[in-house]
This record gives sequence, C-alpha cells and structure tokens, in this order.
Amino acid sequence: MRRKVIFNNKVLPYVLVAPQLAITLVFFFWPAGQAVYMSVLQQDAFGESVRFAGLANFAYVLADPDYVKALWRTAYFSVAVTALSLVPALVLAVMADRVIRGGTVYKTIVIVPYAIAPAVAGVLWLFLFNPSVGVIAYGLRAAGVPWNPTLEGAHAMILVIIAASWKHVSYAFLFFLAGLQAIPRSLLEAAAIDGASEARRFWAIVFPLLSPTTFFLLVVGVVYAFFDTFGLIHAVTAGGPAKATEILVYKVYYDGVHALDLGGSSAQSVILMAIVIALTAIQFRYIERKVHY
Amino acid sequence: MARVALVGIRKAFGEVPVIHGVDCEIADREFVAVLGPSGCGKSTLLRIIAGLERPTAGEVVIDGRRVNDVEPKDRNIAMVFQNYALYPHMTAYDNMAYGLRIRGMDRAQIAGRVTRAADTLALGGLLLRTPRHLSGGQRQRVAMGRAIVREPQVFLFDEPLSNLDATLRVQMRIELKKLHMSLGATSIFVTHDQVEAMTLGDRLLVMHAGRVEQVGRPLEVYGRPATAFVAGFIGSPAMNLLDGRVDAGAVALAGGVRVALPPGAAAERGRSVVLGIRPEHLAPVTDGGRPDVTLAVELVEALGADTVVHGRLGDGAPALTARLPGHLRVTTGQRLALAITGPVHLFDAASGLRLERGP
Amino acid sequence: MATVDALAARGAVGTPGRRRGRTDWLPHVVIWVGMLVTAFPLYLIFVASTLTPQEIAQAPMPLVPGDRLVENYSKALVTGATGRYLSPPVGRMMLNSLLMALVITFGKIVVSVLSAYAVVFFAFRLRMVFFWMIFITLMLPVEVRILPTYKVVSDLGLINSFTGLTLPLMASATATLLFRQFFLTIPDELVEAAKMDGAGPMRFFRDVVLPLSRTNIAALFVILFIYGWNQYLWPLLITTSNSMDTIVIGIKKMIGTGDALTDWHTVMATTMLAILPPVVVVVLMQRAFIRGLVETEK
Repeated sequence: MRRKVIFNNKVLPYVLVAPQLAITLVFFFWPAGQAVYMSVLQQDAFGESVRFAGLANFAYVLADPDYVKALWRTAYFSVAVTALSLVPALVLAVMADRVIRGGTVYKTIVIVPYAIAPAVAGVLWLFLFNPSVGVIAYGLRAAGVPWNPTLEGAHAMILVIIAASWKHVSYAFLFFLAGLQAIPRSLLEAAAIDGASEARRFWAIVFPLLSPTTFFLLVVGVVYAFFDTFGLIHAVTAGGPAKATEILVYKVYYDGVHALDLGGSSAQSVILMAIVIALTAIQFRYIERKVHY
Repeated sequence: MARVALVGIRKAFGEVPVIHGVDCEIADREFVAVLGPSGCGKSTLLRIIAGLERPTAGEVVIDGRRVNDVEPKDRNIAMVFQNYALYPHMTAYDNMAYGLRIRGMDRAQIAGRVTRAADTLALGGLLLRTPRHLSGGQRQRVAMGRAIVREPQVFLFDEPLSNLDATLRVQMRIELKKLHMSLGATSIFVTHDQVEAMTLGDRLLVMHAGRVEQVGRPLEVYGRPATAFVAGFIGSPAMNLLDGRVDAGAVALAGGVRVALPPGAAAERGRSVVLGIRPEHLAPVTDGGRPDVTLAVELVEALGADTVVHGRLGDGAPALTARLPGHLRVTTGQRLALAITGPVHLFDAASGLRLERGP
Repeated sequence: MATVDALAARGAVGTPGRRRGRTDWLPHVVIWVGMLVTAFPLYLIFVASTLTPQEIAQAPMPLVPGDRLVENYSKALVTGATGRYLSPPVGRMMLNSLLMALVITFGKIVVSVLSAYAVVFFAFRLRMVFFWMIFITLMLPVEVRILPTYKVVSDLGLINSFTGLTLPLMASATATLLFRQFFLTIPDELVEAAKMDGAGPMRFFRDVVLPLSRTNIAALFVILFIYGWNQYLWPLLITTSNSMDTIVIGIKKMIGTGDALTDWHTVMATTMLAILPPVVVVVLMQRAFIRGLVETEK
C-alpha cells in the first residue's frame, strides 16, 4: 500500500532502481530463464549438437532411480535437520526467556554458530568425528560403535545432519526468543491466577501464540536444509560415500559441473526452483498479513 | 505579507469529491480560522493552499500571483503541522535552520534568525536538544519557530494544538494569539475546536462536507449563523435545534409546544423548520413574568460557574438544554419556567439555510 | 504491567516463568547444556589449533591447549598449508574474504537502499513490476541457477575476477524489502515538511532518510557481512586461481578428503581464523543485529 506522500520526479526513480534492476536482470532472471531453456534441450557437453527435447529431460530425471533416491534423501535430511534444530532451539529459548541474569552472555554464546559458514561447521564436526583423530569418534569406538563415516553411508548422513543442525540452532533460537518475548506477560499471569500449571500454560498459551514463528522457522529450516547446506555437503562428504549424502542441490552441481549433464542438471534446477517457489508461496500465504505492498 | 484568494477550488480524490467549490478572500495580515468537523475538507483545503495537493479545479492566488503550478517551497509560505513533523535526528536549532540552509543563506544570517525566533518563543536553552528530549509544547514551539524563521508571506497551521493536553492547549492558544498580534502575518489556521477558532480568528471560515457554510467574524458567526449546521457547531453547550412547523405566527413543536416566530423571519405557514435557541439564552422567569417555555428537568450538571440543565419541554416534546447561572439550585423532576433572553433562530428544515427577510 | 514486570525482574513477585524451589535449577541446567554443546566443539577446535600434528594424530587428542599456538597460527597466516594442498598464506586468504565480504556488504546496502527509496517515495509506471521482480528473486538462490549464472559470468569475461565474485551477489531482495518496510514508517508529514523547507528528493534522502536508517544499516551490515564472508558455492565456481581463494574455500581444499594425511593443526588454526571475524562482528553489534534479523524476515 502506498498511501504515501511522494516526490514528483519522473526520471529519478528509474535511475535509482537501475543498479538493482540491472544486476537482477543479468544475474537472476536471465540465468533462471536459461535454466528453464536448457532444461528442455538436449546437448552434448561441447554444445555442438543441440535439439529440443520437450519434457524429455524431466521425464528422464524423474524416472532416474538415483534422482528419486536423492529426492527422498533430501526430504529425510531436511526433516531431520529441521526437527533437530527447532526443538532444542525452542527449549533453549524457553529457558533463556526465564533467566534474567546472565542472559546476554548466554545469548552471545549461542549465537556464535550463526556466524560460522556451513562448510566450516561441517569441517569442524568432520574433525571431531574423524575415525582416525576425532575425539568423539574415539569415544564412539570406545563404546563399541564401529564408527566410520567414510565407509558407512548412514554414519556420513548422521554426521552431516548433526553439523547442519548444530549450526542452525542459533538462528531458530533467536527467532523463538523474540517470539516468546513478544507474548504479553499479562496473559500468562492471568492464566496463573486461573490456576493453570506451568506445563498447561505453555501448551495452551505460549505454544499457540508461537505458531507463526514456528511455521516461519519450519519453512526457513527446510529451505536451509535444501540449499544452504551445499557447502557443508561439498566440503565434508562430497555427496558420498557412494552418494549416501547426495542431496538434490548437490546433485544439480555434480551433474552439471562434473558429470557435464547439462540438460539433466538444468531440469533438476527447474524442479528445485518449483520447490522453492512453492515453499515461499506457502510461507507468504500464511503470513500474508505481514506483507505490505 | 500578502492577500490570499481561493477561486472556485474543487478537489476530488479519484471519484470521490472532497471539496465542492470554495471561494474566499483573505486580507493581508488577517488571521482566518478554518473550522469544521473531521472529514469536512479543511485540511485538504490547507494543503491545496500550501501546494502539497493540486486542486481538481480552481485557482490559488497568493499576493496577486496565481500559484497553482508553483512548488510549495517557492510560494513563500510556511506550515506548522499537526504532529509538528520535526526531523527526529536533528537538534531544535538544525530543525529550524534546515530550510534556510537549503536556500543557501549564510551561517551568520541563519543564526540571527533562529535566535530571534527562539527568543520570541522562549526556546532559549533548548536549541541543542533533539525532539526526543523536548516536551509536546516545546516541540510545537520549535515547529512554529521553523515556520517563523522563513519570514513567509503566509502562515499555515494544520491543527497544531490538537495533540496537546487541555491545559497546554489553552496556554498555547494565548501564546499564538500574542504571536499573531506581534508578527501580524497573514495566517490560515485549521481546527475542529471552535473555542480555538473563536479566540484566534479575525474571521471564521466554517466548513462542512466540503462546502463553506459561512464566513464571518466570530461574533457574527455566533450571533447570526447562516445554516443550522453552523448554529449547532458554534457554541458550547450546543444550540438547541428543535424541529417544528410554521403555524400562525409561531412555530409548533412536538408535544404541543409553541414558540413565537422571531421578528424578521421569512417563513410561510406550513413550512418545516428548525428552531434554534442557545442554552445560554434561557433564564428562569422573573416574578410575574410569563414563561416562553417550561422545562421538565431530567439531568443537572452543576459546574460551579454554570448549571447546565437537560430536560424536555413536556411529554412528547423536544429535549432542551439550558445554561443557567451557577448559584441556582435545580433538582431533577423540577419544572422550570424559562424565558428566552436572546435571539431565536429559524432555519429551513430541508436546506438548513437561515430563514430571514432581507435587509 | 510495567511495575509488576519490574518487580518480577527483581524476583520480588513471582511470575509464571519463575518458580521457587524444585524447578528453579532446570532453566540453568538447560542453559548450561546449551552453552556446552555450542561452545565445546569450538573449544576443541581451538585446542587442536595449538597442538603438534603428532599430538593430534595420537587419538584421542589432549583436551587442554598445547603450546604451539604462536607457531601454528603464524605458519598458517604466512605460509599456508603444506600438506597435499599448497594453499596461499591464510593471511592472504583472509584478506580475500574480507575484501569480498566488505564489497558485497557495501554494494548490497547501497543498491538496496536506493531501490527501496525509489519504490516508496515515487510513483512510476514500472513500480509494481519492479517490486514483484525483487520479490521473486527471494525464491531464486544461487544454488538453483548454478550453471546458467556461471555461463553468464563467463560470457561477460568475469570468471576469476573480483567483479565476477562480488557483482552478481549485490542485488538483495531481503535488504531492499527491509529498507522498504522501514521507509514506509517515515511519517508523511516529515516528507511534506521537507518539501516546504525546499528539500528535493535526493536532499531529503541524504539529510533525513539516511540518518534515520542508521540502525537498519547497522543490522544489515552484520547480516550481510556474515553472508559475504561465508560464501561458498559462488567463489568455488568463479575462482580458478588459488591466489583468489577465500578462507572458507581454502579450508575445504586443505582437508582434501579428510583423511589423516591432512595438516589438521593447520586446518584447525585456519578454521579459527575463518570463524573469528564474523563472530567478532556479531558479538560487537549483537543488539542491532538481532533486531535487524528478526525485522528482516518478518
């Protein structure tokens, strides 16, 4: 809504938006368009023979068992990461909300992982879980677990899930805390006077009032797991062992850059785009009242 | 200083007409109060004069110059906004100096003007504070200072006192009046508060639903309202407006009550009219006098200086409010015999226009 | 109510969130666990960065810092890794990262603030089109258009160039939307007063809008700096010469396949160095940052 007093210049606004417009057109829309275009073509790696393939690439990709596995793997990965980061974040936020003293110190420490790159977080946990030198790996083996993420797909998956979740807890924590602090104390006091127990108060009042935040974080968590973890996967497992940790975004990269399957990679890109658009649309539909235009 | 003329001003926002044709001439050095309820178009009118809105039709003439196509900054005017519109991050000094700086005035001259304005407004030690550290009244004075330093031809005020608390408002009203007396600038002051308008205005421009209902000196507007709307808007408690019908030299109201037609009224028999009597123009009948109306008292407001009495003129008769001297003791249920001690006004029921024989 | 809250803060009046007795220790325990899980891994990294390769190789590594702090860090900064991957000096890589992060941050802020200003304070025909365009870019992260974006950059001859590294990342939907949201809260009267004072749009922008945006800019600075510093996919694709590696990429290259032949002590030192600047920025500007973060996404 622009119920706003404005300036009357006709040319100036175009000058002001020109930089963002230019960059967006050249580096966003044009490539996105290209991705869509390339996804309906089949060409060899040297771009010599090109032919229109319609939806063949898509059909091929969706029928490819590797792709379908990657799809499920990504879903599993994102559910795990989201759950493993949101639940502790909520618990920490609830506790942090109660403690008045030392709150800043606590917040400062818990925020740190936000500042760490996913790839670096990955390297960190890779080191701790490294079968040869890792401290945690040592503990696991001492407890009788045959820990080996370089050979065991499941172990590798656990490793990346832990690393990705650890890093994301900070972000979720900050939002949950803000959400909690926005709940009027008077509501909780009234409930206390009415005789509601603490657990009751939490589930009947706090949790429902947090639902916009929770929903928001769910969507963000899934987007994070889908896309921002690329660096982590690339640095820690390169999708291995034997594709055990190859999530969709990594597959797009690998198929395009290493396997040189341009058509397939583009088709995968387009499918990913569709998923993101759907997720973002859901998010804004739900939180629509907050979006003004 | 300058004259301002509004010729046939109309304004519509899209399909919605907001101002239906305003013509007015404001003399040099005159203080005109534009008075009306919310939504009557008075602020829009002010903004059109300022140049912040363009009229859909009509002309704005300032000092003989047609300024429809002139930018606000070039119209030689200054405006004081309802919420003061002070730049939050600048000191009071900078707020006042900003416009002058943009015009390229040199530092010394700016300093001169600002300090002079600050002295006039008693802002002495506050110039280095930011708005956050100023009270409502102080901010308002800074806003006025910003207008004063421009030394404009016309001052425009958009309900500047509305956001102040009651006592402060009274104080500032008096300050403003004194300021006008000393500066003598042509001023157009928009307000919904009729007391402000009556105090400050040399003339009042009463607006309602986008139209000018009356223009005149305060006492004129008070004493001879041109329409039923103006009659009901000016004066507190509001004038009693009673529906009735003209009949044999009197107005017949509901419940069998009759009031004699005022002299000079031009209304034929059978016409539906609205009769107006101000509450302060009713007094208890002195001994031996014949009452003009009898009031069955339902509610009494004992305010000390006045006693405001609400009641009915009889069963099925209209309600009436009377403002009586404070020392009188009145009880509910009492029947008061009242005489009408001031002019009775007559308005056409359909058009609201004053019904009066021409001079 | 204010007073009740104030009293509760001092523990004088019980609030639902604070219980006496039995469960008073629970929040503290949970908090300590949280801090431990967050901080302990980082502590271990720090420890590893002060040990010799032998001490690390001999699992489990000691849990107290060793005595090689100075050597390890200076070696990393000055010479870089000497394992399988001959990296440029970490100092050099940090500089690359810093430059990239700062350029991206300032670039994004400037581009976004101008766009947001135009969208809010002017009426022009393409306004809504432009706005929706920006909105849509929220849904197109780099990872979704990897190959074509690379191709465009390549066609423009910007591969392995600093421009190619930073320019494509300079259009930000979130920053623009944040500024826009803030600009919408600037009262109309303020704009009108400025008009009456004679300020044109750019003057108003410089004298009023920018100063009022200070906190937003500070918050964005933190968020964008971290974003820029931690970039991974894009530098990976764009830079072909080692000398342009950022520290985050550098770490990845150092670990190769993560086996025991890696110079772990150097890697860990480099990791600490990679983490330090963004963490310092976050900690120093914590309040502004948190506020900005919560505002941006909502």
